[in-house]
Amino acid sequence: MPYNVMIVDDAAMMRLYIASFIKTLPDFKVVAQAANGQEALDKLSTVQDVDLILLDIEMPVMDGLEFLRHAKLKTRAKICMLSSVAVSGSAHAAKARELGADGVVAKPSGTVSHDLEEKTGDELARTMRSLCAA
Amino acid sequence: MSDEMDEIWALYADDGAQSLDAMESALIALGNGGSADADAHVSALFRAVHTFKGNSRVLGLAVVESRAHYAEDLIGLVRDQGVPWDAEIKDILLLGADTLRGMLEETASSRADVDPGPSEDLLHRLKDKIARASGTPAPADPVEQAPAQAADPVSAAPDPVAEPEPAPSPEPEPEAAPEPPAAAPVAAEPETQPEPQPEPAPKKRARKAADPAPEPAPEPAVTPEPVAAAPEPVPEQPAPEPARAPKSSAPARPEKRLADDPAYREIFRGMAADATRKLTDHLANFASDPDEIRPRARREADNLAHAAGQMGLDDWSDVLKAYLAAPEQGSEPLAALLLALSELTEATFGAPPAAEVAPEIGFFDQIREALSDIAAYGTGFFCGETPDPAAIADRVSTIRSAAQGSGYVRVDEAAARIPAATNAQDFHAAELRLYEELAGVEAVMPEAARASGVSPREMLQSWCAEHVFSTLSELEAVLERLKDAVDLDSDYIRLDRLMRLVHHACGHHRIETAGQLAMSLIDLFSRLHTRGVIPDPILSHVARGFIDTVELVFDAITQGQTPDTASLEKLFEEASNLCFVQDGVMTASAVERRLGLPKEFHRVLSPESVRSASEAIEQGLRFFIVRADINNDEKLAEAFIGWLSSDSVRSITNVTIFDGDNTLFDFLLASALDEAGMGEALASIDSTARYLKLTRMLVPTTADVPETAPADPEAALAQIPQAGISAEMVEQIGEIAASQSMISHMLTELSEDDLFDSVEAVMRSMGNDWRRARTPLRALLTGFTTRLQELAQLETQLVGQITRLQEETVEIRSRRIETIFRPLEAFVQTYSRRNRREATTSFAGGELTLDLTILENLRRILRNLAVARLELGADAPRSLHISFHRDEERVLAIFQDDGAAAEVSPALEDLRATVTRLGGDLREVALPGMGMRFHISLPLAMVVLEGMVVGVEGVRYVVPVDSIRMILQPEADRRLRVSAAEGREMLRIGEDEIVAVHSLPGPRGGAPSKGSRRNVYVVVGAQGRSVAVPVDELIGQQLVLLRPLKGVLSGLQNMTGIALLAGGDVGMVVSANMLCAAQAPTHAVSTSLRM
Repeated sequence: MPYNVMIVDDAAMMRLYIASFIKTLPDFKVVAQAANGQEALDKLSTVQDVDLILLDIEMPVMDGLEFLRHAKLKTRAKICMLSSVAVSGSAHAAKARELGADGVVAKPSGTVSHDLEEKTGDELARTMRSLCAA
Repeated sequence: MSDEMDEIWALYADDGAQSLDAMESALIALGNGGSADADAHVSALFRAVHTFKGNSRVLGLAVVESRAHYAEDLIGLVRDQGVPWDAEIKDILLLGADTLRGMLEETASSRADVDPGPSEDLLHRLKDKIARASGTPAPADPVEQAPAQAADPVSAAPDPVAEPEPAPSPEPEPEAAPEPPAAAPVAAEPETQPEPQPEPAPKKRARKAADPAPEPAPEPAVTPEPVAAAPEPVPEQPAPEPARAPKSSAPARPEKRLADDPAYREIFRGMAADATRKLTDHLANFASDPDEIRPRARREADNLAHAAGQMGLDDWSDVLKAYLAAPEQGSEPLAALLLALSELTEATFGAPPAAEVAPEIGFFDQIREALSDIAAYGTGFFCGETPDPAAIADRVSTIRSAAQGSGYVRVDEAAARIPAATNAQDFHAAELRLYEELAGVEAVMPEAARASGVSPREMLQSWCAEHVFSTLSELEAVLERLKDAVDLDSDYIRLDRLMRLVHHACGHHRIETAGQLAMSLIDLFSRLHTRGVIPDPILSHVARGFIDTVELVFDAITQGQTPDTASLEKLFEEASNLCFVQDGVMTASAVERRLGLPKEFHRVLSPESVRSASEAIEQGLRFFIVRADINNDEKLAEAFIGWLSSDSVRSITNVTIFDGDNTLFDFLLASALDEAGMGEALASIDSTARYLKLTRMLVPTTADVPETAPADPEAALAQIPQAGISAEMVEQIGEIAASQSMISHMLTELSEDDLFDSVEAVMRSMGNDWRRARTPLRALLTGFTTRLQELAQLETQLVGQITRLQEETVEIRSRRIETIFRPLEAFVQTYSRRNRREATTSFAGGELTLDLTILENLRRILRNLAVARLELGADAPRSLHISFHRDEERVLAIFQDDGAAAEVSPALEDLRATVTRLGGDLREVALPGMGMRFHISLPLAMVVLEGMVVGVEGVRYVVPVDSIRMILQPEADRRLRVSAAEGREMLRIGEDEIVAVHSLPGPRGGAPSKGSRRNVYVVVGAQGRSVAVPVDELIGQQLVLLRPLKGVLSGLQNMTGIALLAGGDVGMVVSANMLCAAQAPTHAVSTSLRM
């Protein structure tokens, strides 16, 4: 039974890359996508059984940190930040952890990282599995 | 034990002062009544006095406790029994606050209970007021008790629903009425009031107010619920209801029911809603544990039945009593009751209007009292009490019910863990989890939380701040354990937990940088946890720096000083840069500076991006920023991204730019194209030039702007992790790689070039005529030689580059010992202060340098030794002196203090084991009189050494420069053989000084070959002795990294270790100490024998 994943990222290409990467992981399945935090919150109330949310930080309407603040109250899904600004130990990563992010992974080359799978694929897959197994 | 008691008394004084501050604040806020947040203030007042009372009891202060106890009882009447707040209560409690503060100061100083005499007046007033307010006789004052009982014993029964204050005068403000004389027939007063005077501000706890009144005709099947908060009235005598009717007609139904009063109706409505919610919850959980749930449900129903009876709501009473009388079986009666209550609610209060449903009672309002009780249970646990599990379950149920109603799944889960806790520690852990989840709710609804007077965040932060020192100690221990990788998973989880507690503690004092740094460290450690690896030394170092600094900051706060938080900023910067240092690349800020990146690109570069940018800078590529509006055009996006993947351009990073709700991207690109070429390339993808715009071209500066080195040692120590690879070093590595590649290419060409074939070909072409072939052959061989010379030259250049790089890398690991002075000194001060001492520290030898790892080991050892010594209580030292000495093999730290003689202790033995594990030695010496001296000697493994590289028959040796006295090329007549020294070879190095000659072994070991004619001598000195070492060649001076001798090499004589030299050779590092130790002391001689 694969884990259900929701992708929240304002960059359409990035959503494509992430979804394409997840297709290579047999133990995960993308069940929802959203382009900002508000849209993701709305979808959370309709899409059942989301196990993991991959969340960008910088987004219009409602950014990832604000989404995190709200979503952590009402969902048991694990939330992993996947953002170019979430470099290890950075202020953004620290804030995400403070608000309850279960995992944080930095995109390798910016908001739109076409090399996500190549450069960060292993780390992302490892983090996703570790969070869902916890 | 003495220290523990010191700590407990200090805690008592500190907590007590805080409680009294809180008490006074609440009293001021309450004023003479009428405060909008009266309930919240009364609750705060109760908590403050309750805490104070508990602390007094723990320390056996019976008099103090008794005064606090009566004050608490009086407040309890207001909080729980509906007694109205008035000026008299305020005055008595203000007197109480003053008296308790005086007692606190006296007891904290004397550590003994106070004389009860001076506070008798307070006690008398408290008891008197309690008696009058509750209607019970004042127990210890017969002067008042007697007339009250004599007048009308029935009137002494409690009736908290009715106005308990005597109101003999018709003045409109009864609370302002003067207190009647003590002997006045208080109990008779209500009889003079024919009509009830409803409370202007009825209390929420009207349910409890109704409890003491017994049922006029108790149902035999119903077991009355014991009421703890108030004494049971005499059962045979129905409670008087002066608010309803004259006492003579006590059992009769009052003409006007309480239910007719809108205020009481509203109270009952709230109670009924609360009870219904709990009963619904019980019904949902009934199947899981019927024996546990059933009595709770019955208790709820019983309480509501009491209240309904008091209100005169017979229909409610009948339904509830019927349920209570039903045989105990299944959940059906409970379900039927809920249905009936639902109908009764609608019948009594009408259907709630739609608009009212949503706001109902706010989440924080629903949980406020339960949360307060949970906190009190936690305090009780801490004080040795064991809270009633049923009461805990009941309060938790309230919180869970509210959380479930609001969809706060994590709050619900956190609350559910609380009843499972069976000891104080587990209870606190579960309690803190709950606060954390609730703080998340508070963050989303701060206004609602504020309006309810509930702040789980503050509760959490306050607790964490109170316990921060023990948290930091445990954190340090976990950090140590992580290095051993015994149980990485649980240690990482524990570290995360503790670091979060420190974060909350920082929040309490608004030390934002420290709080942020704690989270930053959590992030760094969490990523390692995911990878299942141990923390690297640099991260561990930053974490330790954080712990030390935060300890100092909190200590300063505790002392009432302003903490110095500047070093926290630096640590945070280091933590942010750690991933770059670990990857061995330039920091992001270095790239930002060199490219002059606009602010949108600041702090967003990943290590991957930085590496890519560094390479592009090395390759001399140009940098461009291109704004791309591609989010709504998949085809264009694909074309653009496809182009970015081509060889003509390199995408370094990109950032999001918001244009309203539209998302644009700024791409930082590197390319060999010039500006025009870049423009053309973009136009080929977007011919309209509307979606892809070249906005800027960037020119990298040639070198990074160096950052200013900090002047003070503490900052220098804090900066250790920043000593990563500089931009210059990256450039050097690039040059080395290029040189190596060129050498490799030339060697390949040479190896593929068959010289014999070439010569043969020339000879053949010249008809094998040597004379004719001579010139072309010379040209051929000269060309070959030239290429070899070029190769040799390149190799020399490469060796030079590697040497420089090696020296720099060695240098960045080298630190002066004085960098640990300030942190050690501050630590000793802090630690001794915590133990009620004032210890001072002095140092010597700080100018010596050590490798980072040794320095860190030394710091930790000295710190632990200081702890072991400062823990001696009254015998702990007041003065410490630490001096450092080093030679080329070992560093010696001498720790001397004026404390008591050291006895065998686990701490000292641990320390000895640590030193031994590091290959060192710990010796202690008791000084005459008082004081101890500890000799800690550590081997200089990985030490940075400045050495003279010499050659002996092709073998490379490194002679430490510090040990070289001189290098000589002596005349033959200076070399002597001394008969007194068994004919050993000696060398005259001065007019009156000769030294022994000691040859180093050649490649086959043993003495040098006979043909060897050495005329260069390196004279080394140590411990007042000197030796002349003959060598074949002096290769040059180098900074080298000394590595210890291991395995078979460990048996080598007169050698300290080995070092990898520039150029790839391995050098044996000579030990001047060992060489000189075998020689007689150097002395002047006059007799010599010419060789």
